Amino acid sequence: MTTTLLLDPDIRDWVVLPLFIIMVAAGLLRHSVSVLLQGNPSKAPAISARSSSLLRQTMKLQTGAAHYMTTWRWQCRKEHAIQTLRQEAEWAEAEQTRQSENGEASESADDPMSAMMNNPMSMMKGNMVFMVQNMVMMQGIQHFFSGFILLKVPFPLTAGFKSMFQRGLGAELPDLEPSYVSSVSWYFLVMYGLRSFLQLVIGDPPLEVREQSSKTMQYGYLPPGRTGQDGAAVAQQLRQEAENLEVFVQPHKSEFDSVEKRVLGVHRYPKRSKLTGPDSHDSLFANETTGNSKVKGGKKKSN
Amino acid sequence: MDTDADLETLVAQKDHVNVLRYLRVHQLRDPSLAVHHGQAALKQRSLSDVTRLAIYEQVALAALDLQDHTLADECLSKLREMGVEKESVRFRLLLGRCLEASGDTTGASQLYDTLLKENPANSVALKRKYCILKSQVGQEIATVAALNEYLQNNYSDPAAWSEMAKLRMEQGDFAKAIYAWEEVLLSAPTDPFVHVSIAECYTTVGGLDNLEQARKHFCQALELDASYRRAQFGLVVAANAYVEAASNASKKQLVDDFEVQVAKELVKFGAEQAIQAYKGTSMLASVQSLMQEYTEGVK
Repeated sequence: MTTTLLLDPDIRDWVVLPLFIIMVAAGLLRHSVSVLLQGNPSKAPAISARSSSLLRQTMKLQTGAAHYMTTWRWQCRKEHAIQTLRQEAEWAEAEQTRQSENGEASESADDPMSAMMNNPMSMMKGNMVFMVQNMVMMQGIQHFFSGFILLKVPFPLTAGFKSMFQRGLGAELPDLEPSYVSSVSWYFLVMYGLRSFLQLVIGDPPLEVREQSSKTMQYGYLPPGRTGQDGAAVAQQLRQEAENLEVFVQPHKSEFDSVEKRVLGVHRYPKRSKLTGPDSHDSLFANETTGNSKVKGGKKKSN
Repeated sequence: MDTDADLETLVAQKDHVNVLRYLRVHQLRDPSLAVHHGQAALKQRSLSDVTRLAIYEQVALAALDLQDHTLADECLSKLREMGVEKESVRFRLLLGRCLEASGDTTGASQLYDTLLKENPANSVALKRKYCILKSQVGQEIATVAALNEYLQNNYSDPAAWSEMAKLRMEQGDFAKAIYAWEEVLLSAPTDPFVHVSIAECYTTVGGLDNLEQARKHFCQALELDASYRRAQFGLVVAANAYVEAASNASKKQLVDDFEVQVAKELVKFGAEQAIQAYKGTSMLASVQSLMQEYTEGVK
């Protein structure tokens, strides 16, 4: 049975719109607070900076740039890169053990555990703001705005949603359609919907701020809130890349080998009609009018 | 970038802050423009702190380019007035540049060394150390060592590899120059200049295998840019050198006649391309006679 309930317009004036405005304001406040609570940039661990740049360069061997040098040179470079990667992996591990023995600041850690150990406040600060605000608002809404139906969502919902969205509407009303929801659900709806809106409102930081973050990387620091990788993880990456390179096989020969043919054009490029070169003295293969030419006939047509 | 306008429009509109931003983003080196617009921008009151600091830095660097040390010192003191600490990394790097410009290279090196001790991953400090050594006479070995140190930490920087290649070419070590150019090639394979540089190194070293590589690289440069005159001339020279080397080859070397034929064709092709390029110019006659010499030689 479909019932159409008439809701008091005061609900709209005093609950729906104020809740919306409060949430926009809370979102902006949250953003400002998170900017203020941002930590300082931390030093980029020298090991990972050095090794990751080596990694980037060796990965270029697998790209299309391989077709701009001869196949042979590419293979030489590949072997050299594999060796270099392995040496660098050993260096990274040695550096890491040396650093931890000397007790140098290992602000670098890959897992959240060590991040928590080294910098106990960093993780808390980031999440805390959001969580605190969430808790406070939900408690506030349940205290102030409970006990009445807020609105009817324009799309039909299944019965499963009733327990979630109709909390506090005084012992489940079995006849009430699930589309009628309470204030808490409006809160959730708006919270998720406002994320993109807030991004639009807050907008991009000015160019100077963006430049600052890129300069931070150049000066050897990580942007605030990011942790680097420690030597063991980096060494693992390097070894993995060395394995990948070993297995990597170019499906075709380098395009560079045939560049002269392309530049001269197929017609102008000399044809290998006879066998020339070191075997040309060999009468068995060189002379095309012998009976053997049928076997070697294919050679005449190909170039 | 905040606006998509190009430089002329911004200058015409007297949009000082955005002119300076344009120069920074596109990395244009126009010091007089920067100083002029910077001084005008700083008179505006409505600038945010971040923008003001960035403009002071940009004007200081431009002043160094114009040898205006007073203006640079002024900018430094204004930065300190605005609350930048002495220990700030960015401020110290700017200070180092000012020291370098005024000739105090030892002071600057010490400053960069301190920065590197604090943070060995500071690539800007490594670059500046290299630049100081490069500007000094008679320090070739130290320059190469400094650049090597930079490259060890920043292996994937193509600009640094091309610096290394040029250094090696200056010192005459062409094999290492070729290695460095190939590292640049990995990052920028479709740049004809890189191919031409590699090919010229190969040609300078000489020898059958190297000249074959040189031919191929010149061809690749022509494939990428058919009007590249340096590649056209280089192709003629390299292919001709190949033919000569083949004819002078000792008995032990295996000469592939097919390759010699290819080389001859390349000489003719390169000559044709060069003459084509100079058609209608006053140099045509001299180019024709030059190419004649080469093509006569390979007939």
